[in-house]
This record gives sequence, C-alpha cells and structure tokens, in this order.
Amino acid sequence: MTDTSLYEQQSLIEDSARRFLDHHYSFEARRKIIHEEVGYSTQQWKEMAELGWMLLPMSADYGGLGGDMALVSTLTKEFGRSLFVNPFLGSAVVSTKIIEESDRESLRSEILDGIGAGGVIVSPALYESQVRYDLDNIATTASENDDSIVLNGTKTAALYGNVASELLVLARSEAEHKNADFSLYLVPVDQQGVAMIHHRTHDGGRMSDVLLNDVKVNRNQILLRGQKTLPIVKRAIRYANASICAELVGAMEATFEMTLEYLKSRQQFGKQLSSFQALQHRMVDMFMRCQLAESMRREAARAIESANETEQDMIISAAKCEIARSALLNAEEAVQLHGAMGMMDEMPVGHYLKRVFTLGLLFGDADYHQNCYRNMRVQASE
Amino acid sequence: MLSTPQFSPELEEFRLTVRQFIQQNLPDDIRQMVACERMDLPREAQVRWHQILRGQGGWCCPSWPEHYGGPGWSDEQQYIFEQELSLNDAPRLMIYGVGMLGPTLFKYGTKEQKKRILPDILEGNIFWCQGFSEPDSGSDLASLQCRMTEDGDKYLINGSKIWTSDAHLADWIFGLFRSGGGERKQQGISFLMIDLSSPGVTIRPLKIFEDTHEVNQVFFDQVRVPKENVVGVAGQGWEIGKYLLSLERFGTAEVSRTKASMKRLTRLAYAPVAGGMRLIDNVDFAERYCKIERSLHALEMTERRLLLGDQRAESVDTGASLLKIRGTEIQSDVFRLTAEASAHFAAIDIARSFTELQADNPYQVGDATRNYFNYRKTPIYSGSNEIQRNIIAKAELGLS
Repeated sequence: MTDTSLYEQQSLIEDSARRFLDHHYSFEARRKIIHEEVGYSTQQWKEMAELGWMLLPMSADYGGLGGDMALVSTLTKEFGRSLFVNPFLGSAVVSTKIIEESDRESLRSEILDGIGAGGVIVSPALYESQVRYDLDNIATTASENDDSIVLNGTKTAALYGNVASELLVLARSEAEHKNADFSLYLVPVDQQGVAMIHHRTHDGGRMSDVLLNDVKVNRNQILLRGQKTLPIVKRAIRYANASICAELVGAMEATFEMTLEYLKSRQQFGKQLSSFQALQHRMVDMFMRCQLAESMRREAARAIESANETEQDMIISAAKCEIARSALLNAEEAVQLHGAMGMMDEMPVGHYLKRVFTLGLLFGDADYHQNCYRNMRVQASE
Repeated sequence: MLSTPQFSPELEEFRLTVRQFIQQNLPDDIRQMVACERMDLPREAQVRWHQILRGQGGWCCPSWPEHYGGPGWSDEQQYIFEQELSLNDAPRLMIYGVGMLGPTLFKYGTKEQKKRILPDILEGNIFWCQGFSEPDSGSDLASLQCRMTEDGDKYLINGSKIWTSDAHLADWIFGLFRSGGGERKQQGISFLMIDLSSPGVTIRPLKIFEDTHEVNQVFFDQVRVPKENVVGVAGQGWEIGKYLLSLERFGTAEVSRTKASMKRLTRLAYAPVAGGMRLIDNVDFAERYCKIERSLHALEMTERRLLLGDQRAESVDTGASLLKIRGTEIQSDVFRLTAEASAHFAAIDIARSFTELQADNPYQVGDATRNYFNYRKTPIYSGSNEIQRNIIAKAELGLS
C-alpha cells in the first residue's frame, strides 16, 4: 500500500527532525527560548533552512521540494512531539501556498526564494476578530483610486507578525454586495499606516494584530485578485490544517508516552499507579484516540494529495475537528493522571495542554470544522 | 459516505468481480433478511448461500488455502470480499466452522482430523458452534470447569457451556474443557470437538430480551467423546483457543457491516418529509450522524493501517482489540440513531404486529428498534470491551 521511496523519505525526515529537536530543543532549552523576545531561536531557524525544511511545503516549480503533505506532516508531527514553536506554519506553509498561486512572476519568485532560504518571513494577515473564522465576511477594504489602492481594517492572528518583513493582507473591494471581489496584497510591515500589536500566545508562540489605517499600496503589490482569491486562500488553509493535524498527533503521542511512563514509575498504596485498572482503561482510551488520530492524520495528507476539492474539504474538516478534540481530551487526561505534578510548570505535560489548545484554535477550531462538515453533509445528496 | 483510498487496479477489478457475483447470485429472500440486520438467519438460508459460494471456487471459505478447497486469497482479497458481502447485504460467513475451526485444524489438527472434518465444513454439511463461556466463567475464561475425564478410549464430559450462539442449529460443538489442573488456571485445559447428537447432550434455549433465540445453554451429562476428537494434545487447549480467537481479526470490528447500516440510515435521513424538513435538516440529528460518519471513517482507515499496512504482523493483537472496542461502540451508536430516526414507528414491535417481518415497511430498515436492542450484545460478546481494554493495557502498554 505504501510507496517505498515515499516511506524512505518519511523516515529520513523523521530521523533528522527528531535528532535536531532532541539536540537543540529539549524541554529545558525550550523554556528559555520561548521567553526570549522573538519567541524562537533565529540560529535554529537558519539551521532549519539549511536542512531544507522551508522548501518542503513549496512546489517544485518554484524551487521547492514538491510540497507533498505526506512529507510535510511527517516533519510537523515531529514539531508537535517536541512542542516546537516557530514561524514555520505561518510563513513556510500558509504564506508559501498562497504566494505560489500568484501570477506576479517576479514578485512571486523573489519572495518564495526568500522564504525558502529562511531569510524572509511572511505573516498571513487573513482573519478578523469579529468574524471568527469566516473569511467570506471580513470587513477589511481595498478601495481603488486612479493611481493607488487604500487598505483599511483590523486583522488578527497574524502568526509571528513580530518577525515578519511582509504581511499577506486579505481585503475586499468596497462595493456593498456580499460577493464583492476579494484581493490579497503583499504589504511590508513598515509601510505607512501599518501598525501592529504583538502578542504572546499560551503555547509560547507569537501572533499579532494588524491595524491598517489608510495604507496606500500600489498595483504591483497585488498578489491575487478576482474570484480565484478566496478559493486559493482556502486551499492554503486546508493545507495548513493537514499540517496542524500532524502537529497535534505528534503532541498526542508524546503526551501519551510521558503519562504512561509516569504511571509506571509512581507508587501509591504500596503499588504502582499503573496497576490500577481504572487508570489502565483511561490509558487504553488515550492510546486508542492516538491510533485513530494517526489514521486521520494520514488520511488528511492523502486528501491533500489526491482527493477532489469537495472530498478534500470534508476530510480536512473531519480530521481537524476529531483530532483537535482528541488531542485536547488526551492532554486534559494526561494532566489529571499526573495528579498535582501535572499542574507543575516544570513538568512538560501542562505545556502540551497549552500547545494543543492553542494550535487547535488556528485556521478553524473544532466547532467551526464540525459545523463546516455538517453543512457540507446536509447539502450533499445522499 | 466519505470515500476511501482505492486498492491496486487488480484488486479493484477483483472487487467488481465479487460484487457482480453477489448481486447476481444472492437469493432475494436472503438479501432481505440481511438488509433488515438480522443475524439469526435460518440454517437453511445460511447453507443455501454457503453452497452458492462453494460453487464459485471455494468462496465460502475465503481464508482457506487452495489445497483445502479455499480460494487461496491474500489478506487484501479477503478484506475486500468481506466488505462486498456486507455492502451487498449478503449473510455473514459461517464463522465457527469456516473462520475458526477450519484454520485452527490447518495448524493443530491431525491428518485424520483434517480429512474427516474439513470437507464437511467446506460443503456446508456440518454446522458448528463454539463452547467457551460457562455459567461461572465469563470474562475470566480460564477459570472454566466443564469436566473432561478419561474413561478407557473415550473422554467423559460433565458440566455446561453457556451463551452458545447457534447451538440449536448446530451439529457439532468445539470448545475448551477442563482436563486437569496445574499451577496456573490456564493449564489443564483441552480443546475438544463434540457431536451434539451424542447421548447426554441437552440444549436449553435462552431467549434474549430483544425477543429472539440466538444463544443457548448446552449441558453435558456423562457424554462420551472419542479421544481422536481432541485437537492438539490434552492440556494444550488454552494456546489453541487463543490462536482460534486471533483468527477473527477481520471480523470483530464489523466496519463494513456498519457501513451498510449507515447506508440504510442515510436513506432515512435524506428522505423527503412533508413540510420539507428532512431529518438531516435537524441540526442535532445531523451532528450525531456526522459524528458517527467521521468516527467510522477513522476506524476504517485504522483497520486498513493495522491489518493491511506494512506493520500488519506486529499490530494484529492489540489492533484486533482496538477495532473490536471502537467498532462495537460505533455500531451501537448507529443502531440507536436508526431506531430513533423512525419516530413513533420505532415504538412498534413489527415482528409481533404483522404476520411477517416486512422489508418494504415505510422505513425500509426492518425493525430498527429490535436491532438496537439486539446489538447491545456486541460490546459484551467475544471478550467484553472491558476485557479488550485489559488486553491492550497488558499487551501494548505493558501495564499490569
């Protein structure tokens, strides 16, 4: 069932990522790194680029390694195992997949080269807080004058906006009708009228709010326009979600393993905690959720590579909502089974809970995807 | 239904051949009973279908190699065959003889036993049942006490077996019997085959609350059994029994059966309703429906990964337990939702209201409520889901 060469490539990525992270990103090292100003190690970021990781999501047409989700998700699953937080998801995954679809050739290759080499970080500024995850109803506008375009609005959840040199800003033309034209702009962070508020997220990551106040852009900053804009953005988001699913599964596996280890080592009532059947069954349920989530991770990767658009949409929503829920439930169980030790900052387990909770919120939370799935199912003919 | 990845072109071709054969050769009366989710098919119907498959190159025994009269299929072919049986409303295979005893004899049987017993299973002449549980040995199977004592060239059997499915239809029973003692209770157990027409055998029907007769208690009172009916050697029974149960790895999750049940539920969900509000338009119903669909898809992909993937050999044991637990949980959810989907109609005991079970009743799902009650058995039988969790805890997680 598996293509051998793909299997080998996956093993290579898994090994190299695990070695890299074990060496550079132990839990102790991580505690320091996430408290530094940018929230990740720029030195590690460079090494990641040298390992070619930024090129994994990128199409081979633009100098990337092809973007096969089976490989990308192998990598991000390892990120999940190690609680690795960095600008990869926003810049190397989402922004890359959007920029690839632009027909501005010179701009496109310049930016993608920069992202691939790790020197450029592009933060997607797509969402707005008042519409939650619903991009169809965003309010940021792009009004065209004779010589320029003016952007106005407030964006949220721009991943690692603190270190980005450019933003991808999704906007709509000012026309009233609901299906107004969407367009997407490449906006340098220092462009006049752009202000950002940087936040720390609970998992040690960074994201920014972006205020666009009469930001004048010119036509060669348009990356996408017209009816294809939103579908392209949504496709990139599906891609991002397949990657997130893998990170969540990696985190689930690590959480499971450390909890199992803990129960085997801790003694109470004169015997190991692991000898209590009530606890054993909870571990089995955690184990089963890991196994089912792993199947859905692979299924999401398959859907990205080979399913038609509708099918892909359904499978990604199915995978995201099931995996995000399972990951959160497992993390809560893991904290509980660690007892009071589970509440300690010095123990990794609580940090996994923070990570899976936060990651689950990005690009549509479980409820959002559950709702999408149901709507698609109801509209489908039987 | 979410679609699943295709197998190789050759295997998909094989799937079409199987599907076409079933659709063209499955008798309509049998198809209707299965489409109503009945497990308690009359023996005559089971044998009739078995013999139709027999005529097709041993398809009745899909896991059997060619030299025993089977089709000699790969794991993938067996998996696809089982799927197509389910999705086309064909009966389950005659599991005890075909799926369990036959392959156990391939491994542990003597030449004489193979020659005497296998042909009758293949031809559908002899109908088998399985005797494991006893009144005082349920989940704790190894504590079984049904006695087997030597008496010249025979064994004498005394005691009883319970929850014996299909004993009332069967000619022979195989099972585990207490032939001696040992330090561990797993020692001193033997695997024996017994002719149910032997003097001293009595079968008491046990009706389940859903109202059908599927299980029995089988009593043995000084029953004399020839020594050549022991499989392996006396005392080796626990090992053989475990092997036999491991053979059921494709079956216990019933994923494809549940997919077929989901198709029936889907017809209900999307059926036009006066006023225009279909069942699927009810958000709460739709959510439960979608949840089941997603869970079933995850389980199916897990089944394929664990049973047919690269690591199939390592994952068989815990894979089987995981699949059994989740499979039966999801199956129970489907049957409950299907029953509830029928509103007031779900209250009617169709079997006792009409002269016969009508497959063309307005809801086309047979007696969904009875099925819901009946399928409460699946998380209990074949090693309760609690026992399955113990197995995973011990074997996979190393907890004890």
